[in-house]
Amino acid sequence: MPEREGSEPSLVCFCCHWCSYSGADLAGVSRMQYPANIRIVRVMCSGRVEPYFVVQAFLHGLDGVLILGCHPGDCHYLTGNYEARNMVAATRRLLDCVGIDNRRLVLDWVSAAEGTRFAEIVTKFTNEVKTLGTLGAAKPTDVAAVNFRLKAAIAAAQGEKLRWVVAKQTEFATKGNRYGEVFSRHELDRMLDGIVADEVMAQQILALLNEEPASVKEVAASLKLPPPQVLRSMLALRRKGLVTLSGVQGSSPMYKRRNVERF
Amino acid sequence: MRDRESANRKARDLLRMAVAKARLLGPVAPLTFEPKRSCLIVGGGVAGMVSALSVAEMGFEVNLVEKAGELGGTARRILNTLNGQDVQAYLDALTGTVREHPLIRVHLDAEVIESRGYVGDFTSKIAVRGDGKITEVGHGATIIATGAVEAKPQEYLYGQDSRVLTLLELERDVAAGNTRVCGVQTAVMIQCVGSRDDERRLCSRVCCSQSLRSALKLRELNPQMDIYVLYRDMMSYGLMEDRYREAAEKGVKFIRYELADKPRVTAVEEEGRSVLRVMVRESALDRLHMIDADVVALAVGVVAGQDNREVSRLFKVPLDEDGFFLEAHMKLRPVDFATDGIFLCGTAHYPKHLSDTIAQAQAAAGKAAAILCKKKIETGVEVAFVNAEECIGCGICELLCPFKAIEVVSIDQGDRAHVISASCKGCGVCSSHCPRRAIGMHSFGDDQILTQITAMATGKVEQYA
Ligand SMILES: Cc1cc2nc3c(=O)[nH]c(=O)nc-3n(C[C@H](O)[C@H](O)[C@H](O)COP(=O)(O)OP(=O)(O)OC[C@H]3O[C@@H](n4cnc5c(N)ncnc54)[C@H](O)[C@@H]3O)c2cc1C
Repeated sequence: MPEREGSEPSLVCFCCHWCSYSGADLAGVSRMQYPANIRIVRVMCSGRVEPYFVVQAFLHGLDGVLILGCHPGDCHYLTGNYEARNMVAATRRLLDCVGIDNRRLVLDWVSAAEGTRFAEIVTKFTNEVKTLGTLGAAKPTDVAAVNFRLKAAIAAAQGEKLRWVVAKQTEFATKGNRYGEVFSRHELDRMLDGIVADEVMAQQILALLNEEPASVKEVAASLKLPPPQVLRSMLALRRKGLVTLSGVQGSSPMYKRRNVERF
Repeated sequence: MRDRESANRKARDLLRMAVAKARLLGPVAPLTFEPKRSCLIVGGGVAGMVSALSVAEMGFEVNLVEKAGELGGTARRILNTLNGQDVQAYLDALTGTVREHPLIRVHLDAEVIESRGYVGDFTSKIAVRGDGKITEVGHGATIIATGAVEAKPQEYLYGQDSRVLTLLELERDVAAGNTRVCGVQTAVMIQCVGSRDDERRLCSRVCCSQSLRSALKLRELNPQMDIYVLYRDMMSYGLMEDRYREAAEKGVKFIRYELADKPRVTAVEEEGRSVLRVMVRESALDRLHMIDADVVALAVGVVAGQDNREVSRLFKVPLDEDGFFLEAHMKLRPVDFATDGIFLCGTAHYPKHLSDTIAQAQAAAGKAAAILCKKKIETGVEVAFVNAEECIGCGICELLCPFKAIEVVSIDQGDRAHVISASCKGCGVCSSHCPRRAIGMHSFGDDQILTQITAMATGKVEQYA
């Protein structure tokens, strides 16, 4: 997230090819007026917009991400917009962990006929982000801290675990897991909360240990997290073979990153 | 907004983003195949029949599906056009030719219940009501011509007093020589009923000419009759203006009213005569008129058919806010849908005169034939592909694919996902979720999307990472 002058937010809007992109086109052809802060990236389906893209956008200094798809039931690909909803649920939590206000990410529906609605949503979103302010306007130290966490979030979003859980949400909510247990939305949300927080923390620990070996206490201090949580995460990383003990300093074990070759 | 500087900046960014993406596009291996040389047309009104005939005349087979028991649609209820052309004679000739054409198969009392595939290679199921017979047809192109219907009025005593009619009902009675309308002293027509208000904003385009036509016809049948047309704006565009003038010269009285002060109709007894009393404020002179009428005809306009929603789901094509079908681009692609190989024409699109319907039906037929006549069709280029080295065969993609276009197969190295390119529609949901990030998308890969974000964020075209 580079530091940026000025107060005009820079926003990206992902539009699906079939509904919202046509809606945006209609707004244009009908000469509707809306703020010029938004840049559209066309995708075939809103279900293509993964958490990874969204966190990358923030790392690149954008101030807001709008994802527009077809109305529920109208998806050209039957269920792509529901997958978009599942992914946004996870992305929101990633942003919470990073400390970026999750109102900077909005998912909404616009049909090909709704040029007016497109213009309204964009206007509302732009104004909302304007009141939240631009991200780059923060103090440089804060910017550095947010960037550090954003990078961890990006690694988490690319990681197998989070992607697997996000992908399984629909199945868990309808057919159940492999033991046939069906999850309520509330249970799924709690599960996502836990996994996203764990993954982002693990990635932050790995990033820190990349620089030099450290003890759990040191890591907890620099991440401003409770030591017991960090310890749990550290042990899990060790079990996975991603960190190892590098020695003991005083009475604290020191951990270092182990670079594993992919199998 | 109205801010040239930022609009310009946006334009430059969009261009930069497009260049950034274009730079990363790779060659794709298109799927080539021979199209099915047949066209499916849904709706057997004038639009459906005209397009069926033009497609068949170009040498292609047509399946024409009509849900009613006869062909013709709304035009069955229109006697003449404003220029005096005989609609029924035209319709009978058209229906005859369509029914006899060796390449056109007409399915009456039938509806399409399922449709899948893509341009050049669609498959649909047609169900006939009654015997429940289901026919499966293959087709290279599809034309949607499901038409529209006359609106049902909610006001001016319609349905409570039999002397209040819609214009089409008036026309029917005039044709039948019904003295209830032909022999009366006073007739009133009210325009824009249930239209151009907050609830239904659109103008139906055909009603003004309908009223002019009926007024002239009544005048011809009965020169003594007092005829009034209560209007908000007379849309007698083009050469129809001549008929408007003719009607005015022949003594038809035109009275303008405002939406905020609509006419009022009540049934009263006046000197032993039972009349419909119409009170209307002429807006220019601000004068209240009282007309005692024997018959009141309502210009109720055209509304989208109730089937449209279902048809739109079936073929995955969009509707506009009023429930009519929405073309891909109002100027550049007026008879196309965004989905290749599906076209539209007639009043399914929006209300229009027969002449416009016919012209549009021919346009749609031309577009369909342009596909059917191709030696080879190329499609399915923007599909998913699997990087077999990264894939671990977990099957998440198989689970999520809405089109069963990806499956896990066993190869020597173990289980691997495999994309069935012909079925893949390129949504990218598999790519978004693959835990190993082993699925790429042609034209919508991670790098091709992220480079656009970098381009807009940095103002430079460079690698995204
Ligand atoms: C009230 C009214 C007044 C009009 N007045 C005039 C006029 O004065 N002058 C003029 O030039 N034009 C007039 N028009 C317009 C004219 O009727 C149309 O331009 C023309 O008839 C449209 O033809 P179409 O084939 O598009 O639709 P339609 O005539 O509506 O035919 C559509 C056909 O599709 C069928 N269908 C619908 N859904 C399905 C389905 N799911 N599956 C299979 N079949 C289906 C219907 O049964 C119907 O037969 C008027 C229209 C209306 C509604």
